[in-house]
Amino acid sequence: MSKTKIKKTENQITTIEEKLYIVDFCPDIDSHIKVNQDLCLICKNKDCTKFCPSNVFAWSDVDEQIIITYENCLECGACRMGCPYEAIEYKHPKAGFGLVSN
Amino acid sequence: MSIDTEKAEVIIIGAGIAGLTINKLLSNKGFKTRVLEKALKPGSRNFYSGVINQDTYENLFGKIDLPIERLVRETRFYTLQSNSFDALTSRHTQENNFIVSSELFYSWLAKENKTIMYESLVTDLIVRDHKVCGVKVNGEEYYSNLVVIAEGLNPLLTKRQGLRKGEYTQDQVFLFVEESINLSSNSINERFNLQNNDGVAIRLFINELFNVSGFGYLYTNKKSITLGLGILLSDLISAGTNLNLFLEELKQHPAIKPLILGGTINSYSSYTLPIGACYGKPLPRLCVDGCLVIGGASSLIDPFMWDLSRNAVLTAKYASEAIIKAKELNDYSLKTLSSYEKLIKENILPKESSDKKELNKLDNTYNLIMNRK
Repeated sequence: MSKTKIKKTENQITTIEEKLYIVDFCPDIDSHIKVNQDLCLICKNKDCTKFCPSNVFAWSDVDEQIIITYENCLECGACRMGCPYEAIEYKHPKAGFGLVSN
Repeated sequence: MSIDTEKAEVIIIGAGIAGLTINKLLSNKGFKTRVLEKALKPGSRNFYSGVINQDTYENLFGKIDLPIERLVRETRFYTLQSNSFDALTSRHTQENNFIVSSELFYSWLAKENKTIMYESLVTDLIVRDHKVCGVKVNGEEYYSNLVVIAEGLNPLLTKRQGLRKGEYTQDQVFLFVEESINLSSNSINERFNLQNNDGVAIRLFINELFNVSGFGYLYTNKKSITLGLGILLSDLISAGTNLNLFLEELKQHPAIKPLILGGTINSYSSYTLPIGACYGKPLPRLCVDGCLVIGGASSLIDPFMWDLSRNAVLTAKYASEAIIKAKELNDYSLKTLSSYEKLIKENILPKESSDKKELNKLDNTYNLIMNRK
Protein backbone atom coordinates (compact mmCIF):
# COMPACT_ATOMS: atom_id res chain seq x y z
CA MET A 1 0.00 0.00 0.00
CA SER A 2 1.78 3.14 -1.12
CA LYS A 3 0.84 6.52 0.23
CA THR A 4 2.08 9.68 -1.36
CA LYS A 5 2.17 12.92 0.53
CA ILE A 6 3.04 16.25 -0.98
CA LYS A 7 3.04 19.27 1.28
CA LYS A 8 2.96 22.66 -0.34
CA THR A 9 4.33 25.54 1.64
CA GLU A 10 3.29 28.28 -0.73
CA ASN A 11 0.61 30.61 0.62
CA GLN A 12 -1.49 31.13 -2.46
CA ILE A 13 -3.44 27.92 -2.63
CA THR A 14 -6.83 28.80 -4.08
CA THR A 15 -8.00 26.25 -6.65
CA ILE A 16 -9.44 22.83 -5.90
CA GLU A 17 -6.56 21.18 -7.74
CA GLU A 18 -4.04 23.01 -5.54
CA LYS A 19 -5.98 22.13 -2.40
CA LEU A 20 -6.14 18.45 -3.30
CA TYR A 21 -2.34 18.36 -3.16
CA ILE A 22 -2.49 18.78 0.62
CA VAL A 23 -5.05 15.96 1.07
CA ASP A 24 -3.79 12.42 1.65
CA PHE A 25 -5.40 9.75 -0.47
CA CYS A 26 -4.79 6.05 -0.77
CA PRO A 27 -6.71 5.30 -3.95
CA ASP A 28 -8.11 1.88 -4.77
CA ILE A 29 -7.66 0.35 -8.22
CA ASP A 30 -11.43 0.27 -8.69
CA SER A 31 -13.69 3.28 -8.46
CA HIS A 32 -16.14 3.45 -5.54
CA ILE A 33 -18.29 5.77 -7.69
CA LYS A 34 -20.15 4.65 -10.77
CA VAL A 35 -22.49 6.59 -13.03
CA ASN A 36 -25.16 5.51 -15.45
CA GLN A 37 -23.71 7.06 -18.63
CA ASP A 38 -27.01 6.65 -20.54
CA LEU A 39 -28.60 9.09 -18.12
CA CYS A 40 -25.56 11.41 -18.24
CA LEU A 41 -26.03 11.66 -22.01
CA ILE A 42 -29.53 13.05 -21.68
CA CYS A 43 -28.67 15.24 -18.65
CA LYS A 44 -28.47 18.86 -19.79
CA ASN A 45 -26.89 20.71 -16.88
CA LYS A 46 -24.41 18.12 -15.65
CA ASP A 47 -24.58 19.68 -12.20
CA CYS A 48 -22.15 17.14 -10.75
CA THR A 49 -19.36 18.68 -12.82
CA LYS A 50 -19.96 22.00 -11.04
CA PHE A 51 -20.88 21.35 -7.40
CA CYS A 52 -18.54 18.51 -6.46
CA PRO A 53 -16.05 20.10 -4.03
CA SER A 54 -13.15 18.08 -5.44
CA ASN A 55 -14.06 18.08 -9.14
CA VAL A 56 -14.47 14.31 -9.31
CA PHE A 57 -16.81 14.58 -12.30
CA ALA A 58 -15.92 16.02 -15.70
CA TRP A 59 -17.71 15.78 -19.03
CA SER A 60 -15.65 14.60 -21.98
CA ASP A 61 -16.97 15.95 -25.29
CA VAL A 62 -14.78 13.53 -27.17
CA ASP A 63 -15.96 10.40 -25.39
CA GLU A 64 -19.44 11.80 -24.69
CA GLN A 65 -19.32 10.57 -21.16
CA ILE A 66 -18.61 11.55 -17.58
CA ILE A 67 -15.02 10.96 -16.53
CA ILE A 68 -14.78 10.03 -12.85
CA THR A 69 -11.62 11.03 -10.99
CA TYR A 70 -12.63 8.98 -7.94
CA GLU A 71 -9.07 9.23 -6.60
CA ASN A 72 -9.84 12.84 -5.58
CA CYS A 73 -13.09 12.07 -3.74
CA LEU A 74 -13.48 13.82 -0.37
CA GLU A 75 -16.29 11.37 0.50
CA CYS A 76 -18.93 13.97 1.36
CA GLY A 77 -21.72 12.06 -0.41
CA ALA A 78 -23.26 15.19 -2.01
CA CYS A 79 -23.16 13.66 -5.51
CA ARG A 80 -25.81 11.10 -4.59
CA MET A 81 -28.22 13.84 -3.56
CA GLY A 82 -27.18 16.37 -6.19
CA CYS A 83 -27.73 14.21 -9.27
CA PRO A 84 -31.23 14.95 -10.64
CA TYR A 85 -31.36 11.54 -12.36
CA GLU A 86 -30.10 9.53 -9.40
CA ALA A 87 -27.53 8.23 -11.85
CA ILE A 88 -24.63 8.19 -9.39
CA GLU A 89 -23.96 5.02 -7.45
CA TYR A 90 -21.73 5.78 -4.49
CA LYS A 91 -20.17 3.21 -2.17
CA HIS A 92 -17.65 3.74 0.59
CA PRO A 93 -14.11 3.05 -0.62
CA LYS A 94 -12.93 -0.38 0.49
CA ALA A 95 -11.49 -0.64 3.99
CA GLY A 96 -8.10 1.08 4.14
CA PHE A 97 -8.61 2.98 0.87
CA GLY A 98 -9.80 6.45 0.01
CA LEU A 99 -9.28 9.49 2.18
CA VAL A 100 -6.51 9.18 4.78
CA SER A 101 -6.89 11.34 7.86
CA ASN A 102 -3.96 13.45 8.97
CA MET B 1 -7.09 -7.28 12.00
CA SER B 2 -7.40 -9.31 15.16
CA ILE B 3 -9.72 -12.27 14.81
CA ASP B 4 -11.90 -12.77 17.84
CA THR B 5 -14.40 -15.52 17.28
CA GLU B 6 -16.19 -14.93 20.56
CA LYS B 7 -19.60 -13.43 19.96
CA ALA B 8 -20.00 -9.81 21.07
CA GLU B 9 -23.23 -8.79 22.78
CA VAL B 10 -23.31 -5.51 20.89
CA ILE B 11 -21.68 -4.65 17.57
CA ILE B 12 -21.22 -0.93 16.95
CA ILE B 13 -20.72 0.24 13.36
CA GLY B 14 -18.48 3.30 13.25
CA ALA B 15 -15.87 4.79 15.59
CA GLY B 16 -17.10 8.37 15.40
CA ILE B 17 -18.38 10.42 18.31
CA ALA B 18 -21.68 8.54 18.68
CA GLY B 19 -20.16 5.08 18.26
CA LEU B 20 -17.29 5.71 20.67
CA THR B 21 -19.62 7.30 23.23
CA ILE B 22 -22.05 4.39 23.29
CA ASN B 23 -19.12 1.98 23.39
CA LYS B 24 -17.78 3.73 26.49
CA LEU B 25 -21.22 3.74 28.13
CA LEU B 26 -21.92 0.07 27.42
CA SER B 27 -18.40 -1.10 28.31
CA ASN B 28 -18.72 0.68 31.64
CA LYS B 29 -21.85 -1.40 32.26
CA GLY B 30 -19.98 -4.62 31.57
CA PHE B 31 -21.21 -5.23 28.03
CA LYS B 32 -19.01 -7.16 25.65
CA THR B 33 -18.87 -4.80 22.66
CA ARG B 34 -17.07 -4.68 19.37
CA VAL B 35 -16.65 -1.47 17.34
CA LEU B 36 -16.10 -1.85 13.59
CA GLU B 37 -14.42 1.12 11.90
CA LYS B 38 -13.74 1.27 8.18
CA ALA B 39 -10.74 3.58 8.49
CA LEU B 40 -7.34 3.17 10.13
CA LYS B 41 -8.15 5.18 13.23
CA PRO B 42 -11.09 6.60 15.19
CA GLY B 43 -12.99 9.57 13.80
CA SER B 44 -11.00 9.33 10.65
CA ARG B 45 -13.62 10.46 8.21
CA ASN B 46 -15.94 12.43 10.42
CA PHE B 47 -13.33 14.91 11.62
CA TYR B 48 -14.88 17.14 14.19
CA SER B 49 -14.62 20.84 13.93
CA GLY B 50 -16.69 22.76 16.31
CA VAL B 51 -17.30 23.72 19.84
CA ILE B 52 -17.46 21.04 22.49
CA ASN B 53 -19.63 21.71 25.49
CA GLN B 54 -17.91 20.08 28.44
CA ASP B 55 -21.20 19.51 30.30
CA THR B 56 -22.43 17.23 27.47
CA TYR B 57 -19.63 14.81 28.30
CA GLU B 58 -19.33 15.36 32.06
CA ASN B 59 -23.03 14.52 32.46
CA LEU B 60 -22.17 11.07 31.11
CA PHE B 61 -18.63 10.35 32.23
CA GLY B 62 -18.09 12.54 35.30
CA LYS B 63 -15.09 14.85 35.51
CA ILE B 64 -13.08 14.70 32.29
CA ASP B 65 -9.92 16.20 30.88
CA LEU B 66 -10.67 17.41 27.35
CA PRO B 67 -7.77 17.96 24.90
CA ILE B 68 -8.40 21.69 24.76
CA GLU B 69 -7.09 23.94 22.00
CA ARG B 70 -8.73 27.08 23.33
CA LEU B 71 -11.57 28.11 25.62
CA VAL B 72 -14.51 29.76 23.84
CA ARG B 73 -14.27 33.15 25.53
CA GLU B 74 -16.33 34.89 22.87
CA THR B 75 -18.96 33.88 20.38
CA ARG B 76 -19.29 36.31 17.52
CA PHE B 77 -21.93 36.70 14.84
CA TYR B 78 -20.92 38.42 11.62
CA THR B 79 -23.56 39.35 9.07
CA LEU B 80 -21.73 39.89 5.81
CA GLN B 81 -22.74 42.32 3.07
CA SER B 82 -20.94 42.86 -0.19
CA ASN B 83 -18.19 45.07 1.20
CA SER B 84 -19.01 45.45 4.87
CA PHE B 85 -20.28 43.50 7.85
CA ASP B 86 -22.19 43.83 11.12
CA ALA B 87 -20.70 42.16 14.16
CA LEU B 88 -22.22 41.06 17.43
CA THR B 89 -20.06 39.69 20.22
CA SER B 90 -21.01 37.77 23.34
CA ARG B 91 -18.33 37.43 26.00
CA HIS B 92 -18.64 34.42 28.30
CA THR B 93 -17.62 34.22 31.90
CA GLN B 94 -18.64 30.58 32.16
CA GLU B 95 -15.80 28.31 31.13
CA ASN B 96 -17.49 25.23 29.73
CA ASN B 97 -17.27 25.54 25.94
CA PHE B 98 -14.05 24.55 24.23
CA ILE B 99 -12.46 24.30 20.84
CA VAL B 100 -10.74 20.93 20.95
CA SER B 101 -8.16 19.19 18.83
CA SER B 102 -10.28 16.70 16.92
CA GLU B 103 -7.51 14.12 16.69
CA LEU B 104 -6.79 14.18 20.41
CA PHE B 105 -10.50 14.31 21.15
CA TYR B 106 -11.06 11.06 19.28
CA SER B 107 -8.05 9.48 20.97
CA TRP B 108 -9.58 10.46 24.29
CA LEU B 109 -12.95 8.92 23.35
CA ALA B 110 -11.23 5.75 22.13
CA LYS B 111 -8.79 5.54 25.05
CA GLU B 112 -8.31 2.23 26.85
CA ASN B 113 -10.48 0.71 24.22
CA LYS B 114 -9.43 -2.69 23.01
CA THR B 115 -12.67 -3.51 21.27
CA ILE B 116 -12.20 -1.36 18.14
CA MET B 117 -11.38 -3.17 14.92
CA TYR B 118 -10.05 -0.90 12.19
CA GLU B 119 -10.12 -1.38 8.41
CA SER B 120 -13.46 -3.10 8.92
CA LEU B 121 -16.07 -1.86 6.48
CA VAL B 122 -19.54 -3.24 7.18
CA THR B 123 -21.16 -3.96 3.83
CA ASP B 124 -24.40 -5.55 5.03
CA LEU B 125 -26.46 -6.42 8.03
CA ILE B 126 -27.34 -10.09 8.56
CA VAL B 127 -31.09 -10.39 8.93
CA ARG B 128 -32.81 -13.62 9.96
CA ASP B 129 -36.54 -14.01 10.62
CA HIS B 130 -36.87 -10.21 10.27
CA LYS B 131 -34.36 -9.73 13.07
CA VAL B 132 -30.93 -8.17 12.68
CA CYS B 133 -28.45 -10.63 14.16
CA GLY B 134 -25.05 -9.56 12.84
CA VAL B 135 -22.99 -7.86 10.16
CA LYS B 136 -20.88 -8.72 7.15
CA VAL B 137 -17.37 -7.26 7.26
CA ASN B 138 -14.74 -7.71 4.57
CA GLY B 139 -16.47 -10.94 3.54
CA GLU B 140 -16.68 -12.32 7.08
CA GLU B 141 -19.75 -12.64 9.27
CA TYR B 142 -19.97 -11.40 12.85
CA TYR B 143 -22.92 -12.19 15.06
CA SER B 144 -24.31 -10.32 18.06
CA ASN B 145 -27.47 -9.84 20.11
CA LEU B 146 -27.69 -6.27 18.91
CA VAL B 147 -26.23 -4.03 16.19
CA VAL B 148 -25.88 -0.28 16.71
CA ILE B 149 -25.48 1.69 13.48
CA ALA B 150 -23.33 4.77 14.10
CA GLU B 151 -22.13 5.21 10.53
CA GLY B 152 -22.15 9.00 10.54
CA LEU B 153 -23.21 11.75 8.17
CA ASN B 154 -22.73 9.84 4.92
CA PRO B 155 -25.06 6.98 5.84
CA LEU B 156 -25.23 4.31 3.19
CA LEU B 157 -26.14 1.31 5.32
CA THR B 158 -29.32 2.82 6.78
CA LYS B 159 -30.50 3.63 3.29
CA ARG B 160 -29.70 0.21 1.89
CA GLN B 161 -31.45 -1.50 4.78
CA GLY B 162 -34.57 0.60 4.11
CA LEU B 163 -34.40 2.41 7.47
CA ARG B 164 -34.23 5.72 5.61
CA LYS B 165 -36.53 6.33 2.67
CA GLY B 166 -34.40 7.53 -0.22
CA GLU B 167 -31.74 10.20 -0.05
CA TYR B 168 -32.04 13.55 1.65
CA THR B 169 -33.48 16.05 -0.82
CA GLN B 170 -31.27 18.82 -2.23
CA ASP B 171 -33.16 21.52 -0.32
CA GLN B 172 -32.64 19.59 2.91
CA VAL B 173 -28.90 19.23 2.96
CA PHE B 174 -25.97 21.63 3.39
CA LEU B 175 -22.73 20.94 1.58
CA PHE B 176 -19.69 22.19 3.49
CA VAL B 177 -16.07 22.78 2.66
CA GLU B 178 -13.60 23.42 5.42
CA GLU B 179 -10.01 24.53 5.62
CA SER B 180 -7.61 24.79 8.44
CA ILE B 181 -5.13 27.64 8.13
CA ASN B 182 -1.88 27.71 10.10
CA LEU B 183 -0.96 30.90 11.93
CA SER B 184 1.23 31.58 14.95
CA SER B 185 -0.56 31.76 18.28
CA ASN B 186 0.72 35.32 18.69
CA SER B 187 -0.89 36.39 15.42
CA ILE B 188 -4.14 34.75 16.46
CA ASN B 189 -4.13 36.44 19.87
CA GLU B 190 -3.41 39.84 18.31
CA ARG B 191 -5.90 39.60 15.47
CA PHE B 192 -8.75 38.35 17.62
CA ASN B 193 -7.81 40.39 20.70
CA LEU B 194 -7.31 37.31 22.86
CA GLN B 195 -5.17 36.41 25.83
CA ASN B 196 -3.46 33.13 26.64
CA ASN B 197 -5.69 30.19 25.78
CA ASP B 198 -8.86 32.18 25.18
CA GLY B 199 -10.48 31.67 21.80
CA VAL B 200 -13.45 32.70 19.68
CA ALA B 201 -16.10 30.91 17.70
CA ILE B 202 -17.64 32.96 14.91
CA ARG B 203 -20.80 32.29 12.95
CA LEU B 204 -20.94 33.93 9.54
CA PHE B 205 -24.30 34.82 8.04
CA ILE B 206 -23.72 34.95 4.32
CA ASN B 207 -27.12 34.94 2.63
CA GLU B 208 -27.06 38.68 1.88
CA LEU B 209 -23.57 38.37 0.44
CA PHE B 210 -24.11 35.32 -1.75
CA ASN B 211 -27.91 35.28 -2.06
CA VAL B 212 -28.08 31.65 -0.98
CA SER B 213 -29.11 29.74 2.15
CA GLY B 214 -26.08 28.86 4.17
CA PHE B 215 -23.60 29.91 6.79
CA GLY B 216 -19.95 29.95 7.55
CA TYR B 217 -17.93 29.46 10.72
CA LEU B 218 -14.52 30.30 12.04
CA TYR B 219 -12.82 28.80 15.09
CA THR B 220 -9.50 29.72 16.61
CA ASN B 221 -7.35 26.73 17.46
CA LYS B 222 -4.03 27.10 19.27
CA LYS B 223 -1.94 27.67 16.16
CA SER B 224 -4.46 27.54 13.35
CA ILE B 225 -7.85 28.77 12.24
CA THR B 226 -10.67 26.57 11.05
CA LEU B 227 -12.78 28.22 8.36
CA GLY B 228 -15.84 26.51 6.94
CA LEU B 229 -18.68 27.38 4.61
CA GLY B 230 -21.91 25.49 3.99
CA ILE B 231 -24.52 26.20 1.33
CA LEU B 232 -27.83 24.45 0.80
CA LEU B 233 -27.20 21.99 -2.03
CA SER B 234 -30.24 23.14 -4.05
CA ASP B 235 -29.04 26.78 -3.88
CA LEU B 236 -25.50 25.78 -4.79
CA ILE B 237 -26.76 23.90 -7.84
CA SER B 238 -28.97 26.85 -8.88
CA ALA B 239 -25.97 29.16 -8.55
CA GLY B 240 -24.01 26.83 -10.83
CA THR B 241 -20.80 27.73 -8.99
CA ASN B 242 -18.43 25.52 -7.08
CA LEU B 243 -18.42 25.85 -3.30
CA ASN B 244 -14.66 26.38 -3.32
CA LEU B 245 -15.14 29.59 -5.32
CA PHE B 246 -17.60 30.85 -2.70
CA LEU B 247 -15.07 29.95 -0.01
CA GLU B 248 -12.30 31.83 -1.82
CA GLU B 249 -14.59 34.85 -2.20
CA LEU B 250 -15.36 34.64 1.51
CA LYS B 251 -11.63 34.64 2.26
CA GLN B 252 -11.30 37.93 0.35
CA HIS B 253 -14.11 39.57 2.33
CA PRO B 254 -13.04 42.44 4.65
CA ALA B 255 -14.47 40.55 7.63
CA ILE B 256 -12.26 37.51 7.04
CA LYS B 257 -9.23 38.58 5.01
CA PRO B 258 -7.31 40.38 7.79
CA LEU B 259 -7.90 37.45 10.15
CA ILE B 260 -6.28 34.83 7.93
CA LEU B 261 -3.69 36.97 6.15
CA GLY B 262 -0.37 35.20 5.59
CA GLY B 263 -1.70 31.88 6.88
CA THR B 264 -0.91 28.54 5.26
CA ILE B 265 -3.65 26.09 4.38
CA ASN B 266 -2.94 22.70 5.92
CA SER B 267 -6.17 20.85 5.26
CA TYR B 268 -9.13 20.87 2.90
CA SER B 269 -12.18 18.71 3.50
CA SER B 270 -15.85 18.43 2.72
CA TYR B 271 -18.97 17.01 4.35
CA THR B 272 -22.76 17.21 4.20
CA LEU B 273 -25.18 17.99 7.02
CA PRO B 274 -28.92 17.45 6.62
CA ILE B 275 -31.64 19.61 8.13
CA GLY B 276 -33.25 16.61 9.72
CA ALA B 277 -35.86 15.60 12.23
CA CYS B 278 -35.07 18.54 14.54
CA TYR B 279 -36.70 20.77 11.93
CA GLY B 280 -39.80 18.75 11.18
CA LYS B 281 -38.34 16.42 8.54
CA PRO B 282 -39.33 12.76 8.84
CA LEU B 283 -37.37 10.74 11.37
CA PRO B 284 -35.76 7.63 9.86
CA ARG B 285 -36.56 4.32 11.53
CA LEU B 286 -34.22 4.34 14.50
CA CYS B 287 -35.23 0.94 15.91
CA VAL B 288 -35.93 -2.42 14.36
CA ASP B 289 -35.65 -5.90 15.84
CA GLY B 290 -32.04 -6.28 16.93
CA CYS B 291 -30.80 -2.91 15.66
CA LEU B 292 -30.62 0.79 16.62
CA VAL B 293 -29.46 3.86 14.65
CA ILE B 294 -27.58 6.65 16.48
CA GLY B 295 -25.46 9.74 15.74
CA GLY B 296 -25.24 11.41 12.34
CA ALA B 297 -27.11 8.59 10.63
CA SER B 298 -30.16 9.36 12.78
CA SER B 299 -30.53 12.76 11.02
CA LEU B 300 -30.77 14.30 14.48
CA ILE B 301 -27.63 16.43 14.26
CA ASP B 302 -28.78 20.04 14.45
CA PRO B 303 -26.68 21.93 11.87
CA PHE B 304 -27.37 25.26 13.56
CA MET B 305 -25.93 24.34 16.97
CA TRP B 306 -22.46 25.35 18.12
CA ASP B 307 -21.78 21.92 19.57
CA LEU B 308 -22.62 19.59 16.71
CA SER B 309 -21.63 16.60 18.83
CA ARG B 310 -24.32 17.21 21.43
CA ASN B 311 -27.18 15.39 19.74
CA ALA B 312 -24.88 12.58 18.63
CA VAL B 313 -23.87 12.06 22.26
CA LEU B 314 -27.50 12.25 23.40
CA THR B 315 -28.62 9.59 20.90
CA ALA B 316 -25.81 7.38 22.25
CA LYS B 317 -26.97 8.01 25.81
CA TYR B 318 -30.64 7.19 25.15
CA ALA B 319 -29.76 4.17 23.03
CA SER B 320 -27.54 2.84 25.82
CA GLU B 321 -30.43 3.19 28.30
CA ALA B 322 -32.71 1.19 25.99
CA ILE B 323 -30.00 -1.45 25.49
CA ILE B 324 -29.38 -1.85 29.22
CA LYS B 325 -33.13 -2.41 29.68
CA ALA B 326 -33.18 -4.88 26.79
CA LYS B 327 -30.38 -6.88 28.40
CA GLU B 328 -32.20 -7.02 31.74
CA LEU B 329 -35.27 -8.40 29.99
CA ASN B 330 -33.11 -10.50 27.62
CA ASP B 331 -35.26 -9.16 24.82
CA TYR B 332 -33.64 -7.27 21.94
CA SER B 333 -36.84 -7.04 19.94
CA LEU B 334 -38.37 -3.82 18.68
CA LYS B 335 -40.86 -3.99 21.56
CA THR B 336 -38.16 -3.29 24.16
CA LEU B 337 -35.83 -1.22 21.98
CA SER B 338 -38.54 1.23 20.95
CA SER B 339 -38.08 2.95 24.33
CA TYR B 340 -35.07 4.56 22.57
CA GLU B 341 -37.30 6.29 20.02
CA LYS B 342 -39.59 7.40 22.83
CA LEU B 343 -36.64 9.01 24.67
CA ILE B 344 -35.56 10.76 21.43
CA LYS B 345 -39.05 12.18 20.92
CA GLU B 346 -39.26 13.34 24.52
CA ASN B 347 -35.79 14.81 24.83
CA ILE B 348 -34.30 15.78 21.46
CA LEU B 349 -37.12 16.61 19.06
CA PRO B 350 -38.77 20.00 19.64
CA LYS B 351 -42.11 19.70 21.39
CA GLU B 352 -44.98 21.12 19.42
CA SER B 353 -47.25 22.26 22.22
CA SER B 354 -44.95 23.60 24.94
CA ASP B 355 -41.54 25.23 24.57
CA LYS B 356 -42.81 28.00 22.29
CA LYS B 357 -39.90 30.15 23.38
CA GLU B 358 -37.40 27.47 22.41
CA LEU B 359 -38.97 27.14 18.96
CA ASN B 360 -38.84 30.90 18.40
CA LYS B 361 -35.19 30.92 19.31
CA LEU B 362 -34.59 28.17 16.77
CA ASP B 363 -36.59 30.09 14.20
CA ASN B 364 -34.33 33.11 14.54
CA THR B 365 -31.14 31.24 13.68
CA TYR B 366 -33.00 29.35 11.01
CA ASN B 367 -34.26 32.59 9.43
CA LEU B 368 -30.82 34.16 9.44
CA ILE B 369 -29.38 31.17 7.63
CA MET B 370 -32.17 30.36 5.20
CA ASN B 371 -32.49 32.70 2.26
CA ARG B 372 -36.13 33.66 1.79
CA LYS B 373 -35.79 35.98 -1.17
